[in-house]
Amino acid sequence: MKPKALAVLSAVAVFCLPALALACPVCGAAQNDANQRAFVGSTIFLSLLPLAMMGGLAAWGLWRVRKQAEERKSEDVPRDSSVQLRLEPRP
Amino acid sequence: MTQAVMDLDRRSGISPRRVPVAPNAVIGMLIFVVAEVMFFAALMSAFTITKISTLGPWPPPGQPRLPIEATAVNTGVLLASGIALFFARRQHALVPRKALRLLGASALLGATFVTVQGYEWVQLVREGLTLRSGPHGGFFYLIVGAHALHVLAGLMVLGLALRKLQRDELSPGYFAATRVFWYFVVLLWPIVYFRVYL
Repeated sequence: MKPKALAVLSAVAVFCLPALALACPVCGAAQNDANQRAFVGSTIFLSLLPLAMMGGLAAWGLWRVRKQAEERKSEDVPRDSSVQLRLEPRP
Repeated sequence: MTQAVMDLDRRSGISPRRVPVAPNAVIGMLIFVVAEVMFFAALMSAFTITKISTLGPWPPPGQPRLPIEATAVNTGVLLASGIALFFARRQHALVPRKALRLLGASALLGATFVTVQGYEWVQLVREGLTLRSGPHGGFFYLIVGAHALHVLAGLMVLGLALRKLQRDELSPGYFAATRVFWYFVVLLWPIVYFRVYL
Protein backbone atom coordinates (compact mmCIF):
# COMPACT_ATOMS: atom_id res chain seq x y z
CA MET A 1 0.00 0.00 0.00
CA LYS A 2 1.22 3.44 -0.90
CA PRO A 3 2.13 5.73 2.02
CA LYS A 4 -0.38 8.35 0.88
CA ALA A 5 -3.25 5.85 0.82
CA LEU A 6 -2.17 4.53 4.22
CA ALA A 7 -2.23 8.04 5.66
CA VAL A 8 -5.73 8.68 4.28
CA LEU A 9 -7.00 5.35 5.64
CA SER A 10 -5.45 6.09 9.04
CA ALA A 11 -7.10 9.52 9.14
CA VAL A 12 -10.49 8.00 8.25
CA ALA A 13 -10.03 5.36 10.96
CA VAL A 14 -9.16 8.01 13.54
CA PHE A 15 -12.35 9.94 12.79
CA CYS A 16 -14.65 6.90 12.46
CA LEU A 17 -13.59 4.73 15.38
CA PRO A 18 -13.23 6.95 18.46
CA ALA A 19 -16.09 5.21 20.23
CA LEU A 20 -14.33 1.88 19.95
CA ALA A 21 -10.92 3.10 21.02
CA LEU A 22 -11.29 5.34 24.05
CA ALA A 23 -8.13 7.27 24.75
CA CYS A 24 -8.64 6.77 28.46
CA PRO A 25 -10.37 3.46 29.24
CA VAL A 26 -10.66 4.45 32.91
CA CYS A 27 -12.76 7.52 32.01
CA GLY A 28 -15.22 5.23 30.21
CA ALA A 29 -15.53 3.13 33.36
CA ALA A 30 -16.69 6.11 35.43
CA GLN A 31 -19.64 5.25 37.65
CA ASN A 32 -21.54 8.53 37.35
CA ASP A 33 -21.43 12.00 35.80
CA ALA A 34 -19.49 13.56 38.68
CA ASN A 35 -16.93 10.78 38.51
CA GLN A 36 -16.56 11.18 34.75
CA ARG A 37 -16.17 14.96 35.12
CA ALA A 38 -13.46 14.36 37.71
CA PHE A 39 -11.63 12.01 35.33
CA VAL A 40 -11.86 14.45 32.43
CA GLY A 41 -10.85 17.40 34.64
CA SER A 42 -7.87 15.49 36.02
CA THR A 43 -6.81 14.44 32.52
CA ILE A 44 -6.93 18.04 31.29
CA PHE A 45 -5.15 19.31 34.42
CA LEU A 46 -2.37 16.73 34.24
CA SER A 47 -1.95 17.27 30.49
CA LEU A 48 -1.72 21.04 30.66
CA LEU A 49 0.34 21.37 33.85
CA PRO A 50 3.70 20.26 32.39
CA LEU A 51 3.14 22.46 29.33
CA ALA A 52 2.32 25.43 31.56
CA MET A 53 5.41 24.83 33.71
CA MET A 54 7.76 24.41 30.75
CA GLY A 55 6.22 27.49 29.14
CA GLY A 56 6.65 29.38 32.40
CA LEU A 57 10.31 28.37 32.64
CA ALA A 58 10.93 29.39 29.03
CA ALA A 59 9.19 32.75 29.60
CA TRP A 60 11.25 33.30 32.75
CA GLY A 61 14.48 32.50 30.86
CA LEU A 62 13.52 34.93 28.11
CA TRP A 63 12.72 37.61 30.67
CA ARG A 64 16.13 37.09 32.30
CA VAL A 65 17.90 37.33 28.94
CA ARG A 66 16.12 40.60 28.12
CA LYS A 67 16.82 42.02 31.57
CA GLN A 68 20.50 41.19 31.27
CA ALA A 69 20.60 42.76 27.81
CA GLU A 70 19.05 45.96 29.20
CA GLU A 71 21.52 46.01 32.08
CA ARG A 72 24.42 45.63 29.64
CA LYS A 73 23.05 48.44 27.52
CA SER A 74 22.87 50.75 30.52
CA GLU A 75 26.45 49.81 31.41
CA ASP A 76 27.65 50.72 27.91
CA VAL A 77 27.02 54.41 28.37
CA PRO A 78 29.19 56.37 25.92
CA ARG A 79 31.97 58.26 27.59
CA ASP A 80 31.48 61.95 28.02
CA SER A 81 33.97 63.61 25.74
CA SER A 82 33.86 66.78 27.78
CA VAL A 83 35.52 65.05 30.76
CA GLN A 84 39.22 65.64 30.59
CA LEU A 85 41.71 63.24 32.10
CA ARG A 86 44.12 65.12 34.23
CA LEU A 87 47.40 63.51 35.15
CA GLU A 88 49.01 64.70 38.30
CA PRO A 89 52.63 64.11 39.15
CA ARG A 90 53.37 61.59 41.87
CA PRO A 91 54.36 63.09 45.20
CA MET B 1 20.89 27.32 30.67
CA THR B 2 23.33 29.83 29.34
CA GLN B 3 22.94 32.51 26.83
CA ALA B 4 25.62 33.11 24.28
CA VAL B 5 25.88 36.82 24.52
CA MET B 6 27.47 38.17 21.39
CA ASP B 7 28.92 41.02 23.28
CA LEU B 8 31.67 41.76 20.81
CA ASP B 9 33.49 44.90 21.63
CA ARG B 10 33.44 46.70 18.33
CA ARG B 11 36.68 48.53 18.88
CA SER B 12 38.89 45.86 20.43
CA GLY B 13 37.34 42.74 18.87
CA ILE B 14 37.16 40.77 22.14
CA SER B 15 35.69 37.24 21.77
CA PRO B 16 32.01 36.60 22.63
CA ARG B 17 31.17 36.57 26.35
CA ARG B 18 28.85 33.85 27.74
CA VAL B 19 26.68 35.09 30.57
CA PRO B 20 24.58 32.53 32.48
CA VAL B 21 20.89 33.40 32.67
CA ALA B 22 20.72 31.87 36.16
CA PRO B 23 23.11 29.88 38.39
CA ASN B 24 23.28 26.16 37.57
CA ALA B 25 22.02 25.31 41.04
CA VAL B 26 18.84 27.31 40.39
CA ILE B 27 18.23 25.67 37.00
CA GLY B 28 18.75 22.22 38.53
CA MET B 29 16.42 23.01 41.41
CA LEU B 30 13.75 24.37 39.05
CA ILE B 31 13.81 21.15 37.02
CA PHE B 32 13.53 19.15 40.24
CA VAL B 33 10.62 21.30 41.43
CA VAL B 34 8.81 20.80 38.09
CA ALA B 35 9.10 17.02 38.60
CA GLU B 36 7.86 17.36 42.18
CA VAL B 37 4.89 19.46 41.09
CA MET B 38 3.88 16.66 38.71
CA PHE B 39 4.23 14.13 41.54
CA PHE B 40 1.91 16.11 43.81
CA ALA B 41 -0.49 16.87 40.94
CA ALA B 42 -0.83 13.13 40.30
CA LEU B 43 -1.52 12.47 44.00
CA MET B 44 -4.10 15.26 44.15
CA SER B 45 -5.83 14.04 41.00
CA ALA B 46 -6.08 10.51 42.34
CA PHE B 47 -7.40 11.88 45.63
CA THR B 48 -9.99 14.09 43.90
CA ILE B 49 -11.31 11.20 41.81
CA THR B 50 -11.51 8.91 44.84
CA LYS B 51 -13.26 11.61 46.88
CA ILE B 52 -15.85 12.24 44.15
CA SER B 53 -16.32 8.53 43.47
CA THR B 54 -17.21 7.88 47.10
CA LEU B 55 -20.94 7.74 47.60
CA GLY B 56 -22.02 9.72 50.64
CA PRO B 57 -20.19 12.34 52.68
CA TRP B 58 -16.44 12.86 52.82
CA PRO B 59 -14.72 11.93 55.11
CA PRO B 60 -16.71 8.70 55.31
CA PRO B 61 -18.83 8.27 58.46
CA GLY B 62 -16.97 6.75 61.38
CA GLN B 63 -13.65 8.25 60.33
CA PRO B 64 -11.97 10.87 62.55
CA ARG B 65 -12.33 14.54 61.54
CA LEU B 66 -9.19 16.34 60.50
CA PRO B 67 -8.01 19.24 62.74
CA ILE B 68 -9.00 22.05 60.35
CA GLU B 69 -8.56 25.03 62.71
CA ALA B 70 -5.20 23.98 64.17
CA THR B 71 -3.87 23.25 60.69
CA ALA B 72 -5.06 26.66 59.47
CA VAL B 73 -2.89 28.28 62.15
CA ASN B 74 -0.05 25.95 61.20
CA THR B 75 -0.49 27.02 57.56
CA GLY B 76 0.05 30.60 58.73
CA VAL B 77 3.27 29.51 60.45
CA LEU B 78 4.62 27.97 57.23
CA LEU B 79 3.63 31.03 55.20
CA ALA B 80 5.40 33.23 57.76
CA SER B 81 8.49 31.07 57.24
CA GLY B 82 8.35 31.84 53.51
CA ILE B 83 7.94 35.56 54.21
CA ALA B 84 10.94 35.48 56.57
CA LEU B 85 13.02 33.87 53.82
CA PHE B 86 11.88 36.54 51.36
CA PHE B 87 13.12 39.29 53.69
CA ALA B 88 16.29 37.28 54.42
CA ARG B 89 17.07 37.42 50.72
CA ARG B 90 16.62 41.20 50.66
CA GLN B 91 18.81 41.58 53.72
CA HIS B 92 21.42 39.23 52.24
CA ALA B 93 21.66 41.44 49.16
CA LEU B 94 22.45 44.46 51.37
CA VAL B 95 24.45 43.11 54.33
CA PRO B 96 24.86 39.30 54.10
CA ARG B 97 25.61 38.73 57.79
CA LYS B 98 22.44 40.52 58.83
CA ALA B 99 20.33 37.89 57.03
CA LEU B 100 21.36 35.34 59.67
CA ARG B 101 18.48 36.06 62.03
CA LEU B 102 15.82 36.04 59.33
CA LEU B 103 17.16 32.83 57.82
CA GLY B 104 17.20 31.29 61.29
CA ALA B 105 13.62 32.46 61.88
CA SER B 106 12.54 30.90 58.60
CA ALA B 107 14.08 27.55 59.55
CA LEU B 108 12.60 27.74 63.06
CA LEU B 109 9.09 28.43 61.73
CA GLY B 110 9.46 25.54 59.29
CA ALA B 111 10.54 23.25 62.13
CA THR B 112 7.55 24.41 64.20
CA PHE B 113 5.23 23.57 61.32
CA VAL B 114 6.54 20.02 60.93
CA THR B 115 6.53 19.46 64.71
CA VAL B 116 2.87 20.49 64.97
CA GLN B 117 2.11 18.22 62.00
CA GLY B 118 3.78 15.33 63.80
CA TYR B 119 1.72 16.00 66.92
CA GLU B 120 -1.47 16.06 64.83
CA TRP B 121 -0.55 12.75 63.25
CA VAL B 122 -0.06 11.13 66.65
CA GLN B 123 -3.53 12.38 67.70
CA LEU B 124 -5.14 11.12 64.49
CA VAL B 125 -3.53 7.68 64.77
CA ARG B 126 -4.84 7.48 68.37
CA GLU B 127 -8.31 8.33 67.07
CA GLY B 128 -8.10 5.47 64.56
CA LEU B 129 -7.07 7.18 61.31
CA THR B 130 -4.34 5.01 59.83
CA LEU B 131 -2.99 4.20 56.38
CA ARG B 132 -5.14 1.07 56.31
CA SER B 133 -8.34 2.58 57.70
CA GLY B 134 -9.59 3.36 54.18
CA PRO B 135 -9.03 5.73 51.26
CA HIS B 136 -9.44 8.75 53.57
CA GLY B 137 -6.54 7.74 55.83
CA GLY B 138 -4.48 6.34 52.96
CA PHE B 139 -4.59 9.53 50.91
CA PHE B 140 -4.24 11.78 53.94
CA TYR B 141 -1.00 10.18 55.12
CA LEU B 142 0.32 9.79 51.58
CA ILE B 143 -0.18 13.41 50.49
CA VAL B 144 0.49 15.15 53.80
CA GLY B 145 3.35 12.75 54.53
CA ALA B 146 4.96 13.41 51.15
CA HIS B 147 4.75 17.14 51.86
CA ALA B 148 6.17 16.68 55.36
CA LEU B 149 9.14 14.81 53.88
CA HIS B 150 9.73 17.75 51.56
CA VAL B 151 9.58 20.13 54.52
CA LEU B 152 12.21 18.03 56.32
CA ALA B 153 14.43 18.06 53.23
CA GLY B 154 13.91 21.82 52.95
CA LEU B 155 14.88 22.26 56.61
CA MET B 156 18.13 20.40 55.95
CA VAL B 157 18.88 22.67 52.99
CA LEU B 158 17.99 25.76 55.05
CA GLY B 159 20.22 24.50 57.87
CA LEU B 160 23.13 24.10 55.46
CA ALA B 161 22.52 27.60 54.09
CA LEU B 162 22.50 28.93 57.65
CA ARG B 163 25.78 27.21 58.40
CA LYS B 164 27.35 28.51 55.20
CA LEU B 165 26.17 32.02 56.02
CA GLN B 166 27.72 31.83 59.48
CA ARG B 167 31.04 30.95 57.83
CA ASP B 168 30.63 33.60 55.11
CA GLU B 169 30.58 30.82 52.51
CA LEU B 170 27.00 31.19 51.26
CA SER B 171 27.10 31.65 47.51
CA PRO B 172 24.25 33.51 45.75
CA GLY B 173 23.58 30.40 43.61
CA TYR B 174 23.17 28.08 46.61
CA PHE B 175 20.99 30.59 48.42
CA ALA B 176 18.79 31.09 45.35
CA ALA B 177 18.34 27.33 44.90
CA THR B 178 17.46 27.02 48.60
CA ARG B 179 14.82 29.72 48.20
CA VAL B 180 13.32 28.06 45.12
CA PHE B 181 12.85 24.79 47.03
CA TRP B 182 11.52 26.41 50.19
CA TYR B 183 9.06 28.62 48.29
CA PHE B 184 7.82 25.50 46.51
CA VAL B 185 7.27 23.72 49.84
CA VAL B 186 5.57 26.79 51.35
CA LEU B 187 3.30 27.55 48.39
CA LEU B 188 2.32 23.92 47.89
CA TRP B 189 0.95 23.56 51.41
CA PRO B 190 -2.11 25.88 51.11
CA ILE B 191 -3.18 23.87 48.03
CA VAL B 192 -2.77 20.61 49.96
CA TYR B 193 -4.67 22.11 52.88
CA PHE B 194 -7.62 23.25 50.77
CA ARG B 195 -7.83 19.98 48.85
CA VAL B 196 -7.27 17.50 51.66
CA TYR B 197 -8.55 19.20 54.83
CA LEU B 198 -11.51 21.25 53.56
